[in-house]
Amino acid sequence: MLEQISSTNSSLHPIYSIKIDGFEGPLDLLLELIQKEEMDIRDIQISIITDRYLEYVNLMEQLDLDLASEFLVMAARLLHIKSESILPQIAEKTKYPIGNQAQLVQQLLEYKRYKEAAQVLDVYAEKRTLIYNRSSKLHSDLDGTRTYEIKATLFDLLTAFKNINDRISNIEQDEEYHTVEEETITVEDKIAFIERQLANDDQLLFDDLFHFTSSKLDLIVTFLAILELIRLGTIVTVQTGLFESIYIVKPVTENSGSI
Amino acid sequence: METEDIITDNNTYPQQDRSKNNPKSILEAILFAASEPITVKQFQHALPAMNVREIRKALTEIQDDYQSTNRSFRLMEIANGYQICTRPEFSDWIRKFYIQQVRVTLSPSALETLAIVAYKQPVTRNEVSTIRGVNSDSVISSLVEKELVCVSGRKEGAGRSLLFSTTDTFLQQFGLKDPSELPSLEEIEQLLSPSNGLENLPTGQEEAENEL
Repeated sequence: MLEQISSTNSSLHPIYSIKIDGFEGPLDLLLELIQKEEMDIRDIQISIITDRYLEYVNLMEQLDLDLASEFLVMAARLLHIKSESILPQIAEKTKYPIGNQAQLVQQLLEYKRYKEAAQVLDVYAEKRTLIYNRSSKLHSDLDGTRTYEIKATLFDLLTAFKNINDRISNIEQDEEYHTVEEETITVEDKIAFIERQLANDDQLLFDDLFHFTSSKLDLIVTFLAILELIRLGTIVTVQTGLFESIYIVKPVTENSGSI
Repeated sequence: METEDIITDNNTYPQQDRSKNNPKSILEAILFAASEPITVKQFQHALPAMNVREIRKALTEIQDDYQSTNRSFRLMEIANGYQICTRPEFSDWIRKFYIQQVRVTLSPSALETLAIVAYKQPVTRNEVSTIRGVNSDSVISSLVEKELVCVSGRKEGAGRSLLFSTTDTFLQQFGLKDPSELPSLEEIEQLLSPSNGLENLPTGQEEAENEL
């Protein structure tokens, strides 16, 4: 699948490059992968996690996301830990400080603590909505309330993108003939398109946006447009639960833009 | 103004005295009209005849009055100040008239950055980035823009890096009296264990009321 994306990648390069600072970092990706593989942080199967991690880093590189250097440093670190675990005698000789699994585990555990604290903060923000005071900025009831359990991370989006890409690849392989057309769609066009859709609807299903896409380039451009809109705070991506469908919604208040 | 009268009154706070010079009634009237939490300092500035101890005493009495008479509102300590707020159990009814209270929504990366600042404040950009394992400058800047976080000083020593802390706006929007009201990281670990749930989060206000 990754090779299939890279075939269109070269033509994409001059069009747009998305900076992904402000999104999640490598520790986040590692934690999500560990959770998905249902492993214990203190007992990581390093070779599985390294492979899965590199898969995502490759995908981000091929999408031409302006990858934070920290992702690559972590990749090197994981590969080193993996090699140590396969050939313990190397570990004894080099004593390379960053390749230490125990150290990584400590870092993950500390980071996880703050991620949990963030969850707690979110509960406080939720509880705050139950308390009203004089001249709170109240609006008369419009459409009731929607509740989303969690906000989708960059990796949730990448996972959803991978799934759609796999599906489209299968369809394309089934077709005997291909019509070759020149593609002129840009990220700017897509951004305008998504904004129009959102003007009509309060929420868009992430997958639905890709139903309109006709080619792999279009698919990638749509994905980059979504990332750019998130970065600009124009949209927020939410899920009703972990690994559930992703919805695209407008931020609730003027000062609530997602980063 | 009639500060003289306040002084003569301030040793006794008769429960039923609704006269305009009763300190408790004055504080209550100000709180009733206020749209923002009012700090003890602000009260003292407006009512120089009362000292901090007297103001706090009067505020506690107002809290007790509302509690003992089963009011649907309470005097809440929030963002280092005091504010009259409805009790959470009435939110369903209020929502029949108004849409749900505007809520802070932050991206996961912004929320975890805010959590690190809240727990480790005052903290430098570098310290936040080290914990998150990724450069966090832009996330911190946007939290500063949203006034949830502010520069609170400079670190001693080489470089004199900027230090960041949470703001009163943060306390307001998250319904906290001060940052120390947040459960400790160790407590959170317990709260998140399967036998517990985040619904059981302690908040200073409720605990204080349950004791009464």
